[in-house]
Amino acid sequence: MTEYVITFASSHQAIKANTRLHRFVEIIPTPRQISSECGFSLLTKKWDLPELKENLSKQQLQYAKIYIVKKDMEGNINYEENS
Amino acid sequence: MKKIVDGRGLACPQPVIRTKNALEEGKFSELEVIVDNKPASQNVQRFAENMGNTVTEILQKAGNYHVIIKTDSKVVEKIEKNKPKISCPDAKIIFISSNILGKGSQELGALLMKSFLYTLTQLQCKPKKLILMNSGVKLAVQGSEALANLQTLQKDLQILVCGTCLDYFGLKDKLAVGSVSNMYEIAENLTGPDKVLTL
Repeated sequence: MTEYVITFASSHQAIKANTRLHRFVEIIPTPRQISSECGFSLLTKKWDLPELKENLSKQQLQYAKIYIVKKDMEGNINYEENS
Repeated sequence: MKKIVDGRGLACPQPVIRTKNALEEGKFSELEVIVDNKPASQNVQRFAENMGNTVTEILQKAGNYHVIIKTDSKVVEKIEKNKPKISCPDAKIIFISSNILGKGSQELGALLMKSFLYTLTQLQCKPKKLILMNSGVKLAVQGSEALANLQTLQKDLQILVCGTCLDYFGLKDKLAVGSVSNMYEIAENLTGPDKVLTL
């Protein structure tokens, strides 16, 4: 299943989202390659993109961006911004 | 002959690994490694120098760092010899004496600890052992938010859990990862030859 990283504008928003979605997400330090205002991000592999967006909006969670986690042939991880 | 390795946009330790691969391939006298941040340029420099090469200069161009390495013909041999080792420092023992990281907010501390353990699973150079004591043992029991990360770590390192502490918290039968240890073994580890980092 595809992995997604969700970034936030503040730690409080990230913590709130983690509390509401904690059975479906993992709280991680924001990956180095992603610039974000907040050091915490959420990682999920339990939902596809529409489900993820639906759950974020259902819980009225504010987030900054969603990134799709992609691994290349050499095993390097890239984060592709979802627009 | 000159060779160029582009390490821009790559996460640590990828630029170092690419430098290593390029040095192993050889067939050139000068290697230029381009990275987009200073720590990466320093890591590349350190790696190249440890392998017996000379870093002649680090140029800053348009926000990127160009590390110029003059290679030593003996390097390939050296790398071959050291192949199983990635340039990791001596592995440490991490002594975790609480279920939260740092002092201050309980909520933030729990998330920081979970996030720290997740990050350990992602590191190329992992610690040698984790020792869990006092409320630190709560990280290793059923229902712990950090359990999955500790289970991943256990594949690469040893997790010692204070038995007295499990008993005190009434968690003896809930231990889900690591091995029950005692003060003798823990004290020997803390006073042994390995470096200890206390959290």
